[in-house]
Amino acid sequence: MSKRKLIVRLKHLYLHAYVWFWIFVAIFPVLWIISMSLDPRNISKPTTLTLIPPGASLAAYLRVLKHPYQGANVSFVRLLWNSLLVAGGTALLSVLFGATAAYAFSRFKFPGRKAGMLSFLVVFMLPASATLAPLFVILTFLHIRDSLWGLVFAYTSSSLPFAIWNLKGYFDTVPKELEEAALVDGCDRNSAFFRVILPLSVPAIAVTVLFGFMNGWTEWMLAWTFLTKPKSFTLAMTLYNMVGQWNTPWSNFAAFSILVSLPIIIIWFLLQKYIVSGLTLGGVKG
Amino acid sequence: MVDYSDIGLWEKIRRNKLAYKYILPAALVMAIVTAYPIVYEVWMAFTNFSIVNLKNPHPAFVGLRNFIMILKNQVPLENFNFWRTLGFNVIWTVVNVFFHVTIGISLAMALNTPKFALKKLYRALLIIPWAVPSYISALIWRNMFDTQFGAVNLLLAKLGLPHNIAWLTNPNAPIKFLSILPYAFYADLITNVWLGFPFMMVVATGALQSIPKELYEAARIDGASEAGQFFHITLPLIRFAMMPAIMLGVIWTFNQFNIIYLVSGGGPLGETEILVTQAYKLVNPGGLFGIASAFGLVVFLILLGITLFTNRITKATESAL
Amino acid sequence: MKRIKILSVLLAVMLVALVFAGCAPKQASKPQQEPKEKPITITIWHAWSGAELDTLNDAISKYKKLHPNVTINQLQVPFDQLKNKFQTAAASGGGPDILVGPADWIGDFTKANLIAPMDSYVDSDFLSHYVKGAINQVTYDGKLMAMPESTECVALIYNKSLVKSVPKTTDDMIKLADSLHKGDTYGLVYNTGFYFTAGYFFAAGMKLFDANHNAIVAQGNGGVIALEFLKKLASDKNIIAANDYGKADSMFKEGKAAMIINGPWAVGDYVKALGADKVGVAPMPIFSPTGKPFAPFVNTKDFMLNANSDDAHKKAAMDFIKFMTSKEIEQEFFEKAKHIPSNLDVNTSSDPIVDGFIKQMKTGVPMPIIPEMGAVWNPMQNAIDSVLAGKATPQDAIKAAQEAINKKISAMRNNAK
Repeated sequence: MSKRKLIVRLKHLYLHAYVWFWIFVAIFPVLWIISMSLDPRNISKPTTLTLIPPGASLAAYLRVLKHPYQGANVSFVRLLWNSLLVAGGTALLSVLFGATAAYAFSRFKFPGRKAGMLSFLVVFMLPASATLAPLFVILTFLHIRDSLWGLVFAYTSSSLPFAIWNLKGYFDTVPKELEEAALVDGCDRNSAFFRVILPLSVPAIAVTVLFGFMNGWTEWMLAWTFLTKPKSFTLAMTLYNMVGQWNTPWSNFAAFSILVSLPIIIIWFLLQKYIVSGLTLGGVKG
Repeated sequence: MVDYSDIGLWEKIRRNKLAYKYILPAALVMAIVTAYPIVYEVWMAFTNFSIVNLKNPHPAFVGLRNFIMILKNQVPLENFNFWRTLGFNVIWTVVNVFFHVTIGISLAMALNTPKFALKKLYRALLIIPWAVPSYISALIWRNMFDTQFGAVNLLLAKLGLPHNIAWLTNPNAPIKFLSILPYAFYADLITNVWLGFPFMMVVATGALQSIPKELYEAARIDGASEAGQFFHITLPLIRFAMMPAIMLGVIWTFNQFNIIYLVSGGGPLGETEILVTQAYKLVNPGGLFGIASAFGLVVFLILLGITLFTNRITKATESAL
Repeated sequence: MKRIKILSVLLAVMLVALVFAGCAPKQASKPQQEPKEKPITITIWHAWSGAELDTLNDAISKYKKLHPNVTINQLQVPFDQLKNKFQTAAASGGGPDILVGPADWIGDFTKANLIAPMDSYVDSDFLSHYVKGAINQVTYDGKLMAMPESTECVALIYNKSLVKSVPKTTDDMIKLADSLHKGDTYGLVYNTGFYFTAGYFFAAGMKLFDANHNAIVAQGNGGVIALEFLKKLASDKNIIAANDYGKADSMFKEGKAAMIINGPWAVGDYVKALGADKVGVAPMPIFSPTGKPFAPFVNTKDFMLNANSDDAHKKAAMDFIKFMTSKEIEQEFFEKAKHIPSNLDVNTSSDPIVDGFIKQMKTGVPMPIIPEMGAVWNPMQNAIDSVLAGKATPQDAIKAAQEAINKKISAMRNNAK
């Protein structure tokens, strides 16, 4: 008995060591960013490997909070608000449009169903090497190019394929009988969808929200191509703006990076319990 | 045109009106933002569209010339060799996905061990690379691979290992018989493996949790070893569940622009270029939109081929459809 | 059925809201008869930062006082996004009235009809106040396509507490670097980018183009001599040579490098890091293998005029450009941001640092602005990198570079047809 316990103990010890190795790998760059953000010298590279550099201070954080975008007087709060708007809008539209489409793909056997599913997948495979110019033209034509709405629109389209596939996979695992019971009880399809399917699909919806939010929160290239008014800029694009033609103020960049990453990491931890079950790629098929 | 002789189809469409209504908003967004530019890209691939045509979009139709130029290595890029780049691109994808999957599954299994302490905390910490915006990670890793002051070499020095490695600029291969893979390949690889293993870990966790515990108990009673349990229960059961994620991983990694572009920039001497970074360089600074579009289509066809081929063997998406 | 109606109404409202929410006012306002009276807004896109951005803002408020009816809107864009952003916007009929960018964009933009010539707004008397080489550089196909704001080139920057007297020849420079290497302090840190090393190639006698704009970099032995020289530098243990701007830069800032080859944009930071009395600038030493002076690329930073702007906006924008390149404003850019003025009336004698760059420029060559120049950078960089890595002989490398450049050029021309 005690020998078996010992073996289990040793096995656990070994596994802990293995996991800790990968934890170290996972957080090593994060420690490096923290170290740089505390470095008062704002030089390109710290010369030694210390978590707390000599003369560590929060000055870099104060600098970027006070003056996040060199080009104009836009407050950090304003940029934060814009980022929340874009990321939140992308998350909301991805869920709304993604869930309705995924429901149709999951529950109806209609002509064009397979082709429709596949065409959403195809978008993943085609690299958009030269499509910026036509996208610019069409968003300008719709009068949403130079606004946060244009970004929400563009980001939603890049979030939708994954959202639809993932949500459809999850809807497939919700037993049809539940819905049928609701239909028998006098609900129509819509209320069956909203009252039965959606409440049962919280994990998959959480994953869609998370990915949509992340997409909107971090994109900078389209944002720099489309926007021209500093008051509608986002955090991600002003962070990219710090990477200079010749030089990057690394302490500021690191501090800004941490400020930009923090909300995402917090949301990750809040939604973490849903991720495993909501990511249907792992196929928890009922 | 609708085929009126087939009343069945018409009837089917009519009966499923609601389905189309449900799909409409998503389809509308996709049509406006994605489909139109894609159609435009396909058209450009058959023309000599260049920077001059941005304002005056009447390029000449050149048929398959752009595609022939790509396959015959006549594209105006330095050291360009389509087949070498394609080979590198395939190696890059296979090696990355291999590490993503093996590390992901091993960690998921470790954390799935019964009565394993601190697993929630561990999972939260291991997920960090996925949660940090990827362009920030890429820029930070580039900084960390600096020869003299980079964190990677400083760490190697602390561990007493060889540490004067010019990760991003040494065009020679550290492993002699893998001469196609310079140091920068390993720098890109480390970055992308770091970035990608948490995703596979999460997917594998979901797959492992769906395996009934009774199977293991039965195997244990039959006297199966740990290895035997892994090869006879775990692997066969998670294989099908992992397949769609692996397919997705292949597509993502094959077109992993950000890491290659921001970490090694395709260098040194273009040895770490992949197809999409080459396509980007044709547009910027080249301004050769036509050839770049053709390049995009070639990449698409390759990926489509890989997907259909794997699909045949594994029916990866079959179950999801 | 009720719910689907509510849903579809909701979606429709959202779509409509999306479409109309951000109706961005288009540039266009109709040509105005009396631009002096009517309010007009001029937009300007640039990648200036730090002191140069402050100087721009000061200039804008000064201009506003003189012309209360004109509003100038400036927008700072990351440098690596600026060309693409302008190109995309201007191609679809929009964009700013004024773009600030390096001269090597002019060829592409002119061919694509994105920028407008300025000849009708200036006369020869006006132009005579500017550095002739700068005006020549921005003249494309006989038309003045931009107004130069400042000129740039690389020169030798040294730490005065380590370097007592500036070396006269490259042989002296190498000897000095060898003697200065102690511990982790190096005599010379060297960026091997082609932009930074071009001065040696031209000093060695290399030419870029023939009269038909085809590359001739492998003609003669200039390229080979320069590559051999660079290889010698790189193999010297007392010199750090790498194609890494950040590293060279930070070593110099930390006082761990006695000499560096860099441009005026870096001097401000060096002065901040080391102190004004420690930073010296001088022309690069004579290139010993040929006895010719170092001949770096001289490039201008320019104001360009958007071809899409209407006549009233062009006129107003041009007036602002003239103000920005006037003696008064250029003096400010010189004093505050260390810009090397293109305006000859600016007094620069007070500053030994800027003076060092001006001396270096006298032996420089203007960077060609023909679109073919875009094909040169990567192949030449490849030649340098492969020679330094021991992957190719200088002879083979320069030959390969010429082939690659000409291949690119012919693809560009075929495509433009």
